Amino acid sequence: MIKIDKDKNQINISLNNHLYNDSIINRAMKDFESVCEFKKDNDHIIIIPKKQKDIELIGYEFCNYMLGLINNQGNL
Amino acid sequence: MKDKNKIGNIELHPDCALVSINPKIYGLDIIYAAAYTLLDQAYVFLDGDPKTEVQVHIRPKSSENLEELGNKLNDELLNYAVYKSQSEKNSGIRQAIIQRALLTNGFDIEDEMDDDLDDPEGIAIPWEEKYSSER
Repeated sequence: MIKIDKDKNQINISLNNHLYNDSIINRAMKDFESVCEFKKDNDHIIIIPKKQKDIELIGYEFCNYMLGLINNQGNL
Repeated sequence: MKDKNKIGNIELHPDCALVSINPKIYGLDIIYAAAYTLLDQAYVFLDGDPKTEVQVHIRPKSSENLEELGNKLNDELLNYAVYKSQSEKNSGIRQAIIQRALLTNGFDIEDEMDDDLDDPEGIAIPWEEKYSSER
């Protein structure tokens, strides 16, 4: 579940660890660290963009990026 | 009977489509591969229980039709399921072909070179041969 909190300028993402494993999440967080800060708690991530601009896009692109990483791991 | 907001396994919301997938029919690897094909057109998020029901949330990037995106995902699920099935059936043959190719003695490259090759620019001359005589 993705929730955009524009007042706090953050994106809350609840990830299912069975679908997005920790290695993928950590890799994506590392790759996005130049544009946002992260707070991670088990299956919950808070993304705080460094620039208050298009926070929705960053959240959605982050999810797409994780899916890309999963596929590049060697699935079909 | 067709629900206004639900067509088959596609649930239509104002800003996103929710596609429900049975992971016993389409495994996770197939779901990932199918969802990946939508990344250029939509934002995709996976949720649900990988043992009972996986839900793919699809949010279009621009003016793409939600139902069409959902249908495309369904098509890609079937596409990759068939691909995987065929790949598994052919794995033995593929393995044999590769092994045969690797084990077969290679041809002699020098025998294959054409001594009468027309080379006015001297490109085919090895560097060492070309410049060692100039030292």
